[in-house]
Amino acid sequence: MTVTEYNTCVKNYADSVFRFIYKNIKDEEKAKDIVQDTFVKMWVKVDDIIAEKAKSYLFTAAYNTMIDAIRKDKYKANYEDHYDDYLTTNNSFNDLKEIINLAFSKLNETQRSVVMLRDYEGYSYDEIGEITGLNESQVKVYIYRARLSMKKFIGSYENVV
Amino acid sequence: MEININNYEVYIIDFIDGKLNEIDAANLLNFLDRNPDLKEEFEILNNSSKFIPVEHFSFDSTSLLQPKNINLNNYSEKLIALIENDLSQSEKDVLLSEIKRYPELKNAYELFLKTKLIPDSKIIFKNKESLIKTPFRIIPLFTKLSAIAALFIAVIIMFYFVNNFNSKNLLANNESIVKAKQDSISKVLKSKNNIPILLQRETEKEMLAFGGVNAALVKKNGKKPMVSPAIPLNKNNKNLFKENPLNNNNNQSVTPIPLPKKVISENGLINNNIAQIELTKVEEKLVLKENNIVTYLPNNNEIAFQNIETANIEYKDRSLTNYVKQQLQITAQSEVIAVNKPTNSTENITLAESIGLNVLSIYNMVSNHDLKVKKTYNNDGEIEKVSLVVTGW
Repeated sequence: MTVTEYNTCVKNYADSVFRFIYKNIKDEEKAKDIVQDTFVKMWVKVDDIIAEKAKSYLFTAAYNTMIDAIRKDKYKANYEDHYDDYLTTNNSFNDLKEIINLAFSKLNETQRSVVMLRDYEGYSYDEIGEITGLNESQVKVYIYRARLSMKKFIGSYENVV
Repeated sequence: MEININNYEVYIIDFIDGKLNEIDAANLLNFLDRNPDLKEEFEILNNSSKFIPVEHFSFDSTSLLQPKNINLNNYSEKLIALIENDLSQSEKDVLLSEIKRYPELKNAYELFLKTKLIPDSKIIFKNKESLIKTPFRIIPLFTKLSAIAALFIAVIIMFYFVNNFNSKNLLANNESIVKAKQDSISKVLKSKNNIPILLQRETEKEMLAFGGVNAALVKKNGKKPMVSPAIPLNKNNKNLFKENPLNNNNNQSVTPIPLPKKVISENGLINNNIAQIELTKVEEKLVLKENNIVTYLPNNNEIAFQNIETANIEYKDRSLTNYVKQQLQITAQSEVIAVNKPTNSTENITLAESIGLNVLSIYNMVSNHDLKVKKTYNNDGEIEKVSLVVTGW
């Protein structure tokens, strides 16, 4: 991959990778760090990467870096995340988007990753499997269960509304 | 029982609860078609089924509500497969028709559609410029080290040529000065001052005929013979010398110095009858054979120092002029004119030197070392030694 192709990848995929990481870990600064680390890794191996595979390389590297970061911070928790139910008294939502975001946040990191790769980037099951290290059947099961879980959550809120 | 305006409400409730059989459900739907106002009321009541979880619907084989190929156990999977585009076209068409037909199924399908995420275009990576790379590649360490080594070698070579070039330049510039001095010396000789006359020898053989003592002809690499040391004048050899214009009134011993006919080297400026020893920085100028030790006196370099030290001659605290006088056994101040080319301690830097210094500064910048040029001057103000001092290695 040439320097020009690398710079093209930056312009085309930096937002997507950042969005993918940010929606997963919900920490903007950490997401920036992970994105920068990912592109640094890509630059180091720029001669070995084919331009057509650059996007999947980026998401794979970003996903692995994100998982490492999540595992590293596994024993840490934000106060607001843990005591959110006690801090807020009004769980009403102004729009469906908030409900969906909340439903999405209830998924585990693997389910969130596969759903985003499917919906945001349009990857197939086997491509998602390559990125996340799962096989095609596992990816399918994760996606189905994630959708079912989100549907139940959304349906329960809409029933109240 | 026929459905009429008096009993339709019961049938509607049973229908919503899923308790109607197939026939009664069909009759109810026919009645509602004939009564649009009642149908509207039925639809209001039917839509209130949102509050009832879909799982409460019963899809048994006797119910009209049972969609084909879909049941309570698999409707979620079917709907997700439809969303994920995992169904064939025929399966898709069938399922879509059933979705249109059965509101409960439609509600479930709409909920599943909401689980499909849409990227938020407002979430972007703001600092893309920090990721952009200029068209430079990572240079391997070996390449860097090789470049530094090559630069260092170039600096050393440059200094070598700078020293040689500078000396030659000085020599070329000094030729006119020397010539002027030669002329002045000639005038002095003609005025019959107390200066011995230096004699010539035609050949090396003649010089060696004088007892072979201290014959100082050295031919080295095809260069011209060098100046020979003093040969005592005695009655046996005085006829071989030109008449000494000196009077011996001053009782000084005459120490004629036989000289080769030709100039010592391209830098030597030995002329007939003149003992002028040009000492420059370039190369060997004078050979003295003293006590069977041949000593080269390249001006101001370490080889000379080494040889002189080997011969136990202390040179360092004396100028070359004084040293030559001693070697030639000349005590009077005006007996020999040995011209040292004086150099100022603040000599001008030539172009070659400035280039060399620039190369050196570039090397220091690249390698983070500190190489400096150090010049050592003797008592006459001449450069004794040029060395490269390395610090911070």
